[in-house]
Amino acid sequence: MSTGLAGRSELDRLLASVLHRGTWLGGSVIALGLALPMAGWSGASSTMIGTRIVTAGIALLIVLPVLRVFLMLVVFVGWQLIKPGHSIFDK
Amino acid sequence: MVGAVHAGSVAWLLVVSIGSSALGGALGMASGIFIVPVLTLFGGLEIHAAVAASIVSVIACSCGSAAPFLRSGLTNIRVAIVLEVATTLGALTGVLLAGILSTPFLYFLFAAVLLVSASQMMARRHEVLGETEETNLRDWATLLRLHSCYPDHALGRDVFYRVRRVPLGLALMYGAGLISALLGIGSGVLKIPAMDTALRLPIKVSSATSNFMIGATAAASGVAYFARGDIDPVIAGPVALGSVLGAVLGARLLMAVSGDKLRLLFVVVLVALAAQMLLSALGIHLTGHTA
Repeated sequence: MSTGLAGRSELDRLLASVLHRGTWLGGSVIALGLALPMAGWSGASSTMIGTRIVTAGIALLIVLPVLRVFLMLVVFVGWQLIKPGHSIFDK
Repeated sequence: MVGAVHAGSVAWLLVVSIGSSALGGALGMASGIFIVPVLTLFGGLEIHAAVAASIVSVIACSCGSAAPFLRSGLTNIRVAIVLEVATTLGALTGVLLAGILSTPFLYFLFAAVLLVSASQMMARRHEVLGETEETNLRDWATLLRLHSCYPDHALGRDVFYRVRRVPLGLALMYGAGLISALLGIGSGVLKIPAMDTALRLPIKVSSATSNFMIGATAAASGVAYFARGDIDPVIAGPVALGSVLGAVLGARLLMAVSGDKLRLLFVVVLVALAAQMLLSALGIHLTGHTA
């Protein structure tokens, strides 16, 4: 059992990091938005703020795969400019 | 409005999405095919709201499971990129052909494809992983450097695998994109049999790679749904949160369970889905929509 993170390509590690952080950020924002009106705060404003926070969290999650594709493109193009002939997939 | 929703409803949506996402994530087809029937049949949700929530769930499931799969080396990004090209071309063709073929015929076709896939996947059940073959330096997979390896926790060793028959895999992926666009369904359920049967990838690699690919496809629909204001945060919020948690569980499940058990579970889902498609072909819709 030797092949862990160290054995993967730079792109694998970069994407794993971005997707991990992005997913938990989006999930945390949604959790905050859901918890706000349930935390005992009364009034329509806390409900409205909670809904907006949940919507922001959902938007974050939806943007994440788009960001992933964009990141792959940027890294690929950037890598070709810096090290022509080498691959971002190389370990 | 979030406050208008009973805490019990939020808890129910969380539990449903955790379960759907864990199962869908482990099988590599995301949560869509499980969550839409549950939300409509047991939650009493309108189909449009359920589909919108399921798209967010699929994205959350794909992104949530992508990190552990990438870290563990299960996702083959090169294969994903190559296959995405064929799936996208198939989907574009499907959009152009929409309306030419009758929907009942397509449901029959889809059911037949699922049943054939199920039988072929069962036939590969006892294949030994990591068998090495003579390298053909001129085949597509070698030229595109698609061969790789992953650490299998269930087997306790690294499994090296060779990717085979790339042209056939591309053709099947083109078909998966075509059928999914014509029927408006997720193509994950067709991607895994294509990777399994044509490319001869280990089932865990197929599942992880399919999960990785699904997120980008779902995001295209997700952006459109979000821009139109069709995503209800009251429903999609708890579903998304539950899907993130479920994806983590699904990733752990996939890494811990043996390939044979995973394959068997996948075949059961394929057969169930084929039965649903046959009923749809006969005009009997269980959920009002196929997800």
